[in-house]
Amino acid sequence: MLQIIVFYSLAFVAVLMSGIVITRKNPIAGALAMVILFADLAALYGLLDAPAIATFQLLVYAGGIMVLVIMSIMLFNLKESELQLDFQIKDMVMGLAVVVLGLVCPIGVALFAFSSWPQVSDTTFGGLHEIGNVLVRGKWFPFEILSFVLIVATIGAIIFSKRKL
Amino acid sequence: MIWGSVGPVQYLDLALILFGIGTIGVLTRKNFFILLMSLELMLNSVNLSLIVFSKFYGNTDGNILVLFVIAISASEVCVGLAILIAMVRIRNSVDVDLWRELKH
Repeated sequence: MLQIIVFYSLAFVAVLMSGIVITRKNPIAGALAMVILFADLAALYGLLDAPAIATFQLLVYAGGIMVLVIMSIMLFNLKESELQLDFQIKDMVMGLAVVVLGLVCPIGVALFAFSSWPQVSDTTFGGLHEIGNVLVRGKWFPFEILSFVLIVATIGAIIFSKRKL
Repeated sequence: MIWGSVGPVQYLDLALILFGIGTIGVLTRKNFFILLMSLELMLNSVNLSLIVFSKFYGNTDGNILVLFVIAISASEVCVGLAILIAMVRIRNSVDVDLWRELKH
């Protein structure tokens, strides 16, 4: 019962905050709602027996990426004309119709048709120990490739932000 | 009873709704920051569905994939903000409708 209440309140906060993200005209308000959304998703990951991923979500998304985004928003000193609401209600309704008809309806129907789920009750599932074991013993090659990708992204960001491109 | 218990279908429905909201944001907004955050929202909903499948099939590989997605999206934000800085130097605006160098 407690799990049901926690899940539905977290889901309500997630949907509310994502609605705030796409409808505010000031990007700072969207970014702060996004921080709450990331913490909320971390709590959902904890509910799903993935405490290690919940920790990384808080550290990397809420702590790293959103600080970067908020710092860039504040760096640009947006003009008043750019803070006007840049979409019409008509656009929003059209987008809603497209997404509901093309995405939510088919996949939602398919989800309800999908009835048989295996139930696994492993209490040590998803901890840092298990993830570290799989990551270092089994999936070490993608992990190394990932570090290469991060270095390339850093170099790309430096090159993009040079004064003479 | 749909409200009576919390199973994978409820979690996947939540991920679907978040993905839909992110898609609406990407389709309708023109501010680059909001576009980037809507993109992050879509990535996060896919992460949520990966964690759900990982838990209900009892396989840790889904969690590993979420770690990889988090790292890739960190590098994506890094490069995206660098592109934004370069474009703001040229156009002096964060409105993506004004960026049409590749269109013609």
